[in-house]
Amino acid sequence: MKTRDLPLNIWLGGTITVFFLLCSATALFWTPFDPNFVDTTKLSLGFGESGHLLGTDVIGRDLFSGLLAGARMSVFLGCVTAAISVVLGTIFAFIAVGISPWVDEVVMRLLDVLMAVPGVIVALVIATVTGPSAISTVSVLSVFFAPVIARVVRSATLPILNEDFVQSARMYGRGTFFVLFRHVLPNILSILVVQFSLYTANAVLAESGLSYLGVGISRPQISWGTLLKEAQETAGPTTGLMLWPATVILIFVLGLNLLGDGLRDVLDPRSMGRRS
Amino acid sequence: MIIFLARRFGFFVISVLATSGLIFLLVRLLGGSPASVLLGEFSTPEDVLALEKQLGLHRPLLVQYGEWMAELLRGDFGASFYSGIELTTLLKSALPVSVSLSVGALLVGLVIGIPFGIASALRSFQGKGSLVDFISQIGIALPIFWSGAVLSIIFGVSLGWFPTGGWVPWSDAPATTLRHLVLPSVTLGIGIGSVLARFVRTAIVEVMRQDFVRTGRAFGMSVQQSLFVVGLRNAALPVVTVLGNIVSHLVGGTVLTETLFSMPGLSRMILGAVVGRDIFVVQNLVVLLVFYVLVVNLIVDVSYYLLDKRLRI
Amino acid sequence: MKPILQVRDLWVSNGRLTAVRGVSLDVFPGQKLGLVGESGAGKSMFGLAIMDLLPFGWAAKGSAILGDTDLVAMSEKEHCEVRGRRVAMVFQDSLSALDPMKRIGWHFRRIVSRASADQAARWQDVSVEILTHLGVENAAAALRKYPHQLSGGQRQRILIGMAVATKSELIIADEPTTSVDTAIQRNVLDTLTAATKKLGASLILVTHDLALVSNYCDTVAVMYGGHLVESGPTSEVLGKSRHPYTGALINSNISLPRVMEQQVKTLPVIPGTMPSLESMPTGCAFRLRCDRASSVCEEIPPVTTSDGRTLRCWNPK
Repeated sequence: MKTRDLPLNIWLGGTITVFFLLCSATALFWTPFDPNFVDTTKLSLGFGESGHLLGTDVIGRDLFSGLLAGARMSVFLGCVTAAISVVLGTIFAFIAVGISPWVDEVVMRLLDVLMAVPGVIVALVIATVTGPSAISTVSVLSVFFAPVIARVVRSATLPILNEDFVQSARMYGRGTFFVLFRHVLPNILSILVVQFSLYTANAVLAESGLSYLGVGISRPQISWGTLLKEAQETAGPTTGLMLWPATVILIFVLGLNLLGDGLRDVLDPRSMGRRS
Repeated sequence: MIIFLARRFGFFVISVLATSGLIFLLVRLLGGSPASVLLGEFSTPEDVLALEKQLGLHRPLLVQYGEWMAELLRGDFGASFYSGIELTTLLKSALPVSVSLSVGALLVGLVIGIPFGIASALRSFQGKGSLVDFISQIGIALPIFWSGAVLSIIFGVSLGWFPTGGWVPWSDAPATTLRHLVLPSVTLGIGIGSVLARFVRTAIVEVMRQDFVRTGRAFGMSVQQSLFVVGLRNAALPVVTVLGNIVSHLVGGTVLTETLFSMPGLSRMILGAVVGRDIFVVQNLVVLLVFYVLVVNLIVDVSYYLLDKRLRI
Repeated sequence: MKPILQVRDLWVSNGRLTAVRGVSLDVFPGQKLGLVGESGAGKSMFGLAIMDLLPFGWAAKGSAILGDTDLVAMSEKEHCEVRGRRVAMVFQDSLSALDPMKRIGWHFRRIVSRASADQAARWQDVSVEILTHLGVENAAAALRKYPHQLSGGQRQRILIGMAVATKSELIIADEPTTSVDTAIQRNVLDTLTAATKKLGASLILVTHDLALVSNYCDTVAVMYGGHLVESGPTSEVLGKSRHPYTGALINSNISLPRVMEQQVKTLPVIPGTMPSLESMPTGCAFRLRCDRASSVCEEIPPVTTSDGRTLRCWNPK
């Protein structure tokens, strides 16, 4: 398939994603100002004043640098969460499918219960007990994303297990887990990639939400969510201080969704079901 | 039929026990004892021990769990460790706020989602493209803090039509309360409406592909007629199931929306308790919320079962 | 006699695949035409095209003149008028064809009221009468039931009843006995043909079963790979077939009993399978499996007509 034929989704989504990845990478080494540097001489500056591209917040910290630093953290956490969720989900699915129908039933029911509960809520409990942190955020989110991914992986795995080449492998005495890893996994790789992309978006949204509420990341570590929280608490929700991080999150999430949907259409539109 | 209902209810009971048990364990086993959480960083080990004795935390876990469940069933949700105010009192003022928001958002979501979904399905079935589809895809991705901020800026600050925060109880001035509800409900409702629109569209298109729709047309029904007479009734089934899912999202979204618009609802209560490390308040409130979600899912599943005549032989 | 349906050069395709290729045939009043072919030959699509109920993405070209109106050229609105009034269809799978959330009576009420306004008030009596004639026991109770509560045979009769209630001039039955137990297949067909005759309508029976055609149809049209390869009066076509495919089809159909009686040693089989829509050969669709094929068969043979029979073959028998 020529690159020219790739759908708009992938172009747009891919460009956005790559752009953000570049920003995060840059932020690892350099930001215009130290995002945590409090400069009381330059409070609440506006657009482009005094060399601050997007102004400063109420205690004089540069917003643009904050956004870059936030990108570093949010993108990283998003990817890690998505990766863990995909791995966990796949493991759950394989366990369910590979051992016995009884185990399948039990595991799926367990996951049903997990899915019925809003993860945000449980995150709150954990945050209370252990104190908000990056690790607790990532863990909670992964645990709540994994069941949904497990479902997707399971429904993709079942038809493959019924294929002829799998049956013949089993006839030769190969164990189920061998079959799962050696034969099924390569075939569902495209599905996993799509899920990874989509769930990075979900993770970024969720982490931003949690940090916004105060149970995620907090200073001196910066994520987009902490910027939102500070904006809410200081200048209020109707200022640029809030709008900038929110818009940045929106664009990144949209880009990832477009990329994920586009990849899904390109890689295997039929077996992954309709775009819904 | 009885068998199904019994099984489903059994699943419900197990879910409640499992999730409450999980939360119970999380509270007691994660990160040290609840007593140290309550007392904070500057507590001494002796203080912690004393509090643990006082709260009965040294007793067997099963006993504690049983007692806790009994209290909840009695309606005793405990009190704040610091202020001593009973939860039920706090809930009386916070619950109406959150419930109003939920209902408002659900209404907005239904009003947006269902017509959009139907229109989109009709166009899709007749082979035309759908702008609505694209719009709803964006609508789903809109973070609440973004749409809330934008709506506040446009309708709250620039145009000044609606207040951008705060709350007035219903009993005081219902008209003002309504005005306070508009922006938050619309913000939350957009996300819900988009999900619903997408889902309604897919459900209807699925139904329209069915053979019995073709039969309707074979005997003279137009496409529109078959949609409304046959399609909707049959599409209602899968849509009912997604409503349960939506409610789950609603809970999370309500928390964000209430924070954004400074509404004194349930989320402020919970967040305050979280920040203040008021662990048992958090525990009880969370279990309450989870219970509510599970109940809604139960109702949805049973309704689906009752509606789908095929399942009831 | 003027035909009630004149199909000329009908093509059905979805832009990528073509299911029906240049089929022309006539249906006369009171005629019972058997449209025969294996699965994938295009016969179902032909029927659906007449009713304009093709699946999403498929379209028909050519002309199909019912009486004096061209069905292919109609708008959707005009089609709604024709469907269930002048042409009716009996579908193959009676369970999926009926709305699971509606009682049987709901369908009949609509259809009977639509067929004639003065019968509308008496729709229940009319429906019960039709269904009882068709052999549905306790028809009044059946009207109140849901599709899944009835047996396959009853449902099929109900579908036939619905078609008959429309008082149409033409009834198209798409494999009406495929999802019915073999034991009652004959029964259902007896019912269908008797009802059609009573109505004075014509019948197009779409099927893969030659035996049914030989027993119930006065005319037969054989389809292969989207083409209409042979047609004519049943006794003549089946007795003395001209197209190689028809001959092979007849052979494989009647041989099973003869093998059982050991008159024939092996079951004659047509080597190969019908090409899928994606891999249709150019020219005559049957040439890759035909033992009479020659180089000229790479061109689509034209339709030749002689004494009431049509044929599409370069090398007929």
